[in-house]
Amino acid sequence: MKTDRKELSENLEDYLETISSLSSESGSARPTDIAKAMSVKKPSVTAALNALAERGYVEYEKYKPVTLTKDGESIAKNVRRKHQLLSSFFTDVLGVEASEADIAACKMEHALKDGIMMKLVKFLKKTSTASCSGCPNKNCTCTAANCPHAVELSSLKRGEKAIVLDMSNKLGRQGTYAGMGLTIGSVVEIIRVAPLGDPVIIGVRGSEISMRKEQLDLIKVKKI
Amino acid sequence: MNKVRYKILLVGNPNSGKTTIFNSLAGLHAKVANYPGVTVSKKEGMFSVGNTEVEIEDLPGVYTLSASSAEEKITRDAILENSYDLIVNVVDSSNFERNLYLTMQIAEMRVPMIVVLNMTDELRKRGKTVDAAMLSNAIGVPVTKCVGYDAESAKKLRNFIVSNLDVCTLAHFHWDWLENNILSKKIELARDLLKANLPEEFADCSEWMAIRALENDEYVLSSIKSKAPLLYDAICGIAQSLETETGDNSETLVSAARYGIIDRICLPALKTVENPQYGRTRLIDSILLNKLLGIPIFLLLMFGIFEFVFELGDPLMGIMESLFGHIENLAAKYWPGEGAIKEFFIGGVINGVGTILVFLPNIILLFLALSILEDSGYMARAAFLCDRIMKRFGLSGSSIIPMLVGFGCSVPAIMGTRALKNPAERLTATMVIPLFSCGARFPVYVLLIPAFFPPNLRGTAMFCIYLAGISLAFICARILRSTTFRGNDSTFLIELPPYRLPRMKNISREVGFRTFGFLQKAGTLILGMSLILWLLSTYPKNTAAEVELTQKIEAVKSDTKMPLDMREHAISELESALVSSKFDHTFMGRISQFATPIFKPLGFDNKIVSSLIGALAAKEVFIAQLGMVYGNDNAEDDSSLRDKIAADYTPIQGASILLFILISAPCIATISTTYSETGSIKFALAQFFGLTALGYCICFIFYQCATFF
Repeated sequence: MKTDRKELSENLEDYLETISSLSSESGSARPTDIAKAMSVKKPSVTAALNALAERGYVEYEKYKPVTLTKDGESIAKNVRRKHQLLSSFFTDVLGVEASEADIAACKMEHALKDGIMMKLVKFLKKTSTASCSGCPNKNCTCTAANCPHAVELSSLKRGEKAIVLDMSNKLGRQGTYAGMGLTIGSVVEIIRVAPLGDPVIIGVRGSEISMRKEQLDLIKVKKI
Repeated sequence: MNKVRYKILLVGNPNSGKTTIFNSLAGLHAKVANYPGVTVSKKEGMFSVGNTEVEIEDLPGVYTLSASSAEEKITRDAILENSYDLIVNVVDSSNFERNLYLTMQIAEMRVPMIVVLNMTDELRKRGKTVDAAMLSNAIGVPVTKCVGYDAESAKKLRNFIVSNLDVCTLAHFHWDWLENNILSKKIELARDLLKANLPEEFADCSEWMAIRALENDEYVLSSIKSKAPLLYDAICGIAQSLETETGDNSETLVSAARYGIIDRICLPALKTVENPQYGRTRLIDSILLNKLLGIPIFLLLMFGIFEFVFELGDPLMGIMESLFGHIENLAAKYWPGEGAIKEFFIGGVINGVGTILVFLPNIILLFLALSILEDSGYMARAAFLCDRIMKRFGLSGSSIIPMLVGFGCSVPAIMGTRALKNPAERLTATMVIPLFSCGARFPVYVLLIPAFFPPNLRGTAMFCIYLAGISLAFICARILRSTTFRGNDSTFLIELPPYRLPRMKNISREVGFRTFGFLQKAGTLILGMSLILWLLSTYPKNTAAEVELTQKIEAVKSDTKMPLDMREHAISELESALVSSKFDHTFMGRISQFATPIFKPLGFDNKIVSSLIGALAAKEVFIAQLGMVYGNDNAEDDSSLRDKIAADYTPIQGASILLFILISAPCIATISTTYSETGSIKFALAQFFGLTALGYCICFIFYQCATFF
């Protein structure tokens, strides 16, 4: 992103977050609503909005609802996602109570760098089963790689069908596989195993492609 | 009236029937060349409707435009170059969904295009049909149906293309069709950023660039980087935040989204109309890829192909040989006078052309067999069956076919490595193919083995020499793959196309193209090389000795007092002396004299060394050369030559010679082909000297050990 994140104080990030959630809830965000939601005085809201408008994150004129610019929206979203991520980490993994987790997440979200966040996402995908534990095996459309029903494609037997959840980067260029029909969300079927036991033919999107078992090991699927 | 010229590009998936359509459209107006720098053939043709002439370029079949292989790069560059009026995207309707992925990628580039739904008959057999009008509405470009091999259908297609030439139709696959999700937002963000910051002329393709950048496309990213480094950082930031927010690889997200759009927008156009006649391909596969039968059937098929090629090819080869013998004789007879030019023309040029053309019957037949295997869809199955074995040696299953062809002749085998998509693997296969004993080495084995081995061991010896070649080839491949030609040896990804009956028109066209390619590239090189060899083995002449010996022969011939058998004996001895004095004086003779001490530790003498040097032209020349050195003019008469060899050399020397013939110095035709296929003199020389050095070492060790014990 071309904007320099360091310029934005925690406080201003909070404002963006609030504006974003207010406008998605009630369609518009008036300074009074903002002041109420954040329990601050109105003049401080005006000051903050001026600062944000100066940096090009909001469009703000007196007596009109505040709207986020594209840049502002994207920062707000990022912060909100971090918030959700952190609070779900606290509740699901660490077992912290929800209200407590929310407060902690609110403080920590500003300090969470994108790099750390990505690692956290990956970690949660791997460990947490919470979000998917109630997933009925059949007809479930969830394609999260952390789904408890996910298995390696190589573990499937002939004739079994599955949906692709995750493809490892070790497979090489994902685009090459995609061109042959294999991406996340594709339905695959094991059609045949070679007489000598190795390459396997899988059916995907109407065509048959052949891959080695060691490649199938790197593809996570869920049986359907 | 003036003719109006247009140019179209044919783009489509492999096995989408693009070549059939090209052949139907272009008729006989087709020519084939190579794209510069790579051995991907470039097919061009043309047709005309009324006053409109349309040039067609048939681009290589690709699945994506991500430029990760030579074919993809060529196709993409051709589309980007923008020197055409229309792109004709051939879509295999029987594999509709997957084929549209490429359609979408082309559409993203904002180029004028139409879609041709090919093989609608095959789809019909599956009980389905595509609603062309609906598809056309959905993606915003003209769509037509076609059955590629049908003449009527081709005519309609020609008219359809011509009617769309001036209408600039841009496809619209809108990313905002994706629901309100993170990806489409990020694409939008990147697009606006690019639009605002890049020069005006990029405005149109800013969305394409944005998508490709998120897909991690090196070409687009590096071009952004070179134009605006700050912009590049910003775009990378967008890609990174996309990955952060979704936890998925951005490349995967984009491709999954494409299929999402295809599913939603295009699949409704695919309609089921009746019950399918199910799975011919699956049925055939259940036999041909059967757990027990699969491999025996494969071996049987390969054996069948060999029988077909060589049983049919050898007589044709014989005819070619005698034809050129006649031409040489005629030329010798009717060429006025004598002199260096005549000698050069007859001994060098005619002989050289003969060498190439003698190859031709076998090569054409092999190409024919290969084309049938490819077009029927069995080629991919062969790779599938053999991959497990080839994997051990760092190769993929696809390399089995060129290697097997190597038992026939290394030249088409090396040309056949084009089917290997991984460049490192292809080079490896090219390097080791000469180790498979080719057809030309067989007569040499037939001559030498009975001379050195008792009858009960002859079969075993023959088997061992073939086995030694195969084992060495695989060992070398393994070594090469783990040293010089490393890289992604764990991925194997091929499509198994449905079985289709090969069409004679396509096959004959393909064989024609390939044969022409052989003659044009390898052929000219082989001719040049054989001319050089001829010069080296003819000059300088030892005129004094020649005159003296010829006089002696004449003297003996006219000496009626001598008994007839004694006279004949004397003549043949003198003639043999004449031949060897001639040869010794030439560059080649000098080289072999110089080289003899080097080959001493291998158990070779002057005669063998000079025959080996002669065998550079072609392996079977070894016999002729040896016969010449022994003064045995009739090379066909093996037995007398064999007795002489048996008397002169020990079986250990014999085995050493056999090994050397097997391993060392591939013939000039092979080297020329390696050069023309790899496009690098370095690889050709590496193959020549590498194999020769390997042969030398093995024979050295073998001979020294065997004589020591």
